[in-house]
Amino acid sequence: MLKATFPHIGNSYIPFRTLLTELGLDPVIPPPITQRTISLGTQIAPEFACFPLKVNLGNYIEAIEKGAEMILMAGGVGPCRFGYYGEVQREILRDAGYSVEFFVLEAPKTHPRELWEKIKRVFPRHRAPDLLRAVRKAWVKADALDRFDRMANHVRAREEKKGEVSRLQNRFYQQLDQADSMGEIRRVADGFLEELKAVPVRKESQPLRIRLVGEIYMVLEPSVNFHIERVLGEMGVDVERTIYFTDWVKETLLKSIYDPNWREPLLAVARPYLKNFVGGHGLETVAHTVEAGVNRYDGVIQLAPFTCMPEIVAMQVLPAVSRDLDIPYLTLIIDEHAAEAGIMTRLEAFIDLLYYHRNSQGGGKAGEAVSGY
Amino acid sequence: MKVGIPRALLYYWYGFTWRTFWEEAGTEVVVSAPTERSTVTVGSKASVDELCLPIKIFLGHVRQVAHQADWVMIPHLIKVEAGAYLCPKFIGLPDIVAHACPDLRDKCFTVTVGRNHLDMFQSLKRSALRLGIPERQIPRELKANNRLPALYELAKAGYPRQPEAEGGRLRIGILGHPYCIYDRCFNLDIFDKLNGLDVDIFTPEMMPEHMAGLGSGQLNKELFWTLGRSQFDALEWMLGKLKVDGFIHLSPFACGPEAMIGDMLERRIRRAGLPILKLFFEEHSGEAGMITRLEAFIDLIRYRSRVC
Repeated sequence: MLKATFPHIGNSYIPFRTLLTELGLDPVIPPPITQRTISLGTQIAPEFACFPLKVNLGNYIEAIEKGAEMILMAGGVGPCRFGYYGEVQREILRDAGYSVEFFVLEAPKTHPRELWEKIKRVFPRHRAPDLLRAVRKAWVKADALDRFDRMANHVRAREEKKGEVSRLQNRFYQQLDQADSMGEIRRVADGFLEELKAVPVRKESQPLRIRLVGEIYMVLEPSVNFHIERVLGEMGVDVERTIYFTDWVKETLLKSIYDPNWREPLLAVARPYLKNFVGGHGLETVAHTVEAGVNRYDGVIQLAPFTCMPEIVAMQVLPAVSRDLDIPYLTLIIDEHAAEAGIMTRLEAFIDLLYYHRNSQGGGKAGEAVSGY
Repeated sequence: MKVGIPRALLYYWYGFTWRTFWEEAGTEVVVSAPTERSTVTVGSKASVDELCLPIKIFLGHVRQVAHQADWVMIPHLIKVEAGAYLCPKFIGLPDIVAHACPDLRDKCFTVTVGRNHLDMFQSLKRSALRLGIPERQIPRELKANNRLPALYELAKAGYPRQPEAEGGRLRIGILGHPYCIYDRCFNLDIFDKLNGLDVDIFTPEMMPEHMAGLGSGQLNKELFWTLGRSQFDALEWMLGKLKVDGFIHLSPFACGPEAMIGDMLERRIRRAGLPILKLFFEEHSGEAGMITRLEAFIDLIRYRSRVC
């Protein structure tokens, strides 16, 4: 069987493994992202390319070391740089001396048939029922992951024993990854959701509510954002991530096919501040920050890779949103030089500021002057 | 009524078209003075640090021209040809200006530069009506003279030069975005420096128009940035027809598209066995460093052409 690999993005390797196996390929999951991955990628990537491109390259190299023969990657049509990743990465790998087939999946330019021909060439099991079953199985897994993660962030902020939710989460990822049949997937998903609900929580606490916005890769991939969700959660902060993999597929991929105006609601929300779609998640960042302000969240954290163009446009706009709607925000720009200590210091300072902000507004209770970590 | 046009970004392509339109519509046109150090300072003060130097320069020009004019025209650059965008920062340019210079919001108006001349003409016409210019005064057609400001800047610098009798001068291809090549303050007057080194230079805008699409068409996947396409076309022209001796690539520090385009250009130039010098510019660029590297680069090419 052909050994295929793909870059890491959050926990999406779990549904992707299922998808590729069902389609008759032998998936090689790149080892978890470490400092070595990042430095391998940085060595051969252009200096000012965005951080995800460099980490992707590191993933490819480590997967090739594990025997991968083909790389699967998504493409796009801009204006964000992600759309051209595939082409640039292909050339970089070739010039660096790696012989590997590079397969970019993207929307067909001329006729849907083009995509179909591609799929037929790469996947050994490409009959319609096979495809349907594979996609359905992978989707159920992806959906289960996102449902669990969404709830885990709420529970983590309130858990009695620190780290309990994170341990449960790791166990859930492992078992879901191993689950094979549809019934087993459902059983694992439901069982762990029940377990999560049963985690003992502090009833009286009113944790800070923070929204996580920004560039999709930095938000979804914990090993490049220094596990920001876990860290904040264990500081007693209720983190609401605004980007989930299944949401992205539903909105950006599917809606853009049948509903050309799917961005209208976002544009309407962001309108007083940003009137244009600027590629990537720039518009989403602004819209979700406005929403957070209107809904009285305690703060917003924006994650962006260094030199990310859409997020830079958002950065120019966010101060006005923050001022008008009285919503504090923190921008974290991350690249291969970002250090954990620096990020932690800024997060802790930001959380302190949010507690102060909440108390000075009279929203908090008397005993809550001390932050929760 | 005075309409101000910032001399920045794609002014170097469309500037004369805009100017002619507004002059024919009976307004007085003020184009901001060429970039100076003070423009950069004003622009960087208004913007967030992360923005690139060309956008900061643009903001500086907006501020400058706002003093002299009643209205400031902000070009909204989304797509200037089918199938290709410009940088996301250009797409969000009206928003960036609105937030970097909130006091100028009432003075600025947006003109969308569309996929073809008709789009731009309609957008200009709409703006003219909104500024209260009577319809009979508005010109009936738009005079197409794309890239003319760029050629004008080149002519001012003395290019293209008369060919020498026994083909002695080195030929250097300059690649980069138009506002990097023709803004003399941005690139620390590279034309002047190269003039002093007695070499011939060629820029993407000097390429005959019928060659557009030849270079970028050879790419594996269609490129979706206009300013990247024009550089690949120019590369093809310079490698194939001009047979230049070396390349200089100018780009702003931390430019998004150029990070990818520059890398792919470099790989192609290397494969062709030619030397390339990549220069990055930001607010703190120092002239001495650049001169040393330019001289060393030209010396290297001279030495190379003698040896090979």
